[in-house]
Amino acid sequence: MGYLKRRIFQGAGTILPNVWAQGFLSASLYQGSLKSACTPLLNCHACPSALLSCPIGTLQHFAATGTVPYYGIGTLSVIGAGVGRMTCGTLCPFGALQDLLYKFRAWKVSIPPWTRYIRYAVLVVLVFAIPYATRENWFSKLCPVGTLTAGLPWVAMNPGIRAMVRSLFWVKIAILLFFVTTSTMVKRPFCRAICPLGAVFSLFNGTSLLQLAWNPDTCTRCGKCQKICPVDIRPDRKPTDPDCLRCLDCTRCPSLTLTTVFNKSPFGISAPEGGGPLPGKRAWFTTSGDVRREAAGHCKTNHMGA
Amino acid sequence: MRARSAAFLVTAVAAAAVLVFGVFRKEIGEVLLNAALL
Repeated sequence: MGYLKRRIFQGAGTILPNVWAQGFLSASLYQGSLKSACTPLLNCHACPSALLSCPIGTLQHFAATGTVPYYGIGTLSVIGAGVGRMTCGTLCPFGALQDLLYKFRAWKVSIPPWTRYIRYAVLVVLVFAIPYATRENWFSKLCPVGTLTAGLPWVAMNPGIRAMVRSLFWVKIAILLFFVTTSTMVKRPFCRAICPLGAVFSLFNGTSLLQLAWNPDTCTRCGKCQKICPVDIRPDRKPTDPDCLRCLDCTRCPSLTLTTVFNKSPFGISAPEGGGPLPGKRAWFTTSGDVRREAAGHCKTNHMGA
Repeated sequence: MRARSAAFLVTAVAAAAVLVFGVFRKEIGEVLLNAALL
């Protein structure tokens, strides 16, 4: 997927679930029937313009009431079974914000791979266990997305809520500022280490309908896919990586493409003798070593932009 | 690839079954109440 196309999708993912502008004008929440549907994004349903409900908020609510959230789990599972983590990479507004923040000139650092396991701990402890034990939605109380899209607007709009501000609000602000700051230095720190929704969807990356396919015959292991990857992984080493957001930035390389689990030969159209352009690809595709080296040079100049 | 296809089919059917069960239990109403009225 091209850079501009992904930004358009992310813009749509930001605007479409939040089109009830009247909420900001009248300082009220949308209460129509659309709120019964869970959005496949981390989008706070307490935001005045939110049309849909937050899936993590829904899971927590059921955990806090001591019931199993079949509807919430089913919704997320159906989406995960279809596209894996693709909504994180192509639609999520907070992911888009982190992508943009990383473009700032700042000291760039990597985070260790073990941090990915924190998000599973967040899912189990903050979304299920603590709400079940305390009857309160503790992830929502601390969620930086909720602070940005609901906490701050409500405190700004409503004097009554402003009067209720206590120390927890400043803790929320500190968490938001922490992720805003670290996003300028680390690629998508919240998505990789904390996001419980990403933790749910990443469980499906290996078995989802849509899959990333890698062609070892044409790959030159140049590593440019990692440089442009928003979560800093090597899709050529493990196309089904649970961290992969399926943003499809790496499919600018002819050795990686989007396919389905039923497609036995995602790169299957044989190239003409001596190489030739594949339909939909701007590169030469062949298994011959000579053209593979040629593709490496082609890749440097035309495809990856990194 | 065949194992992955089978895994997808099993996952998709199980996911759809859980979702339908949730709808059958009328959880949609509770989701609406939680999200709209907080």
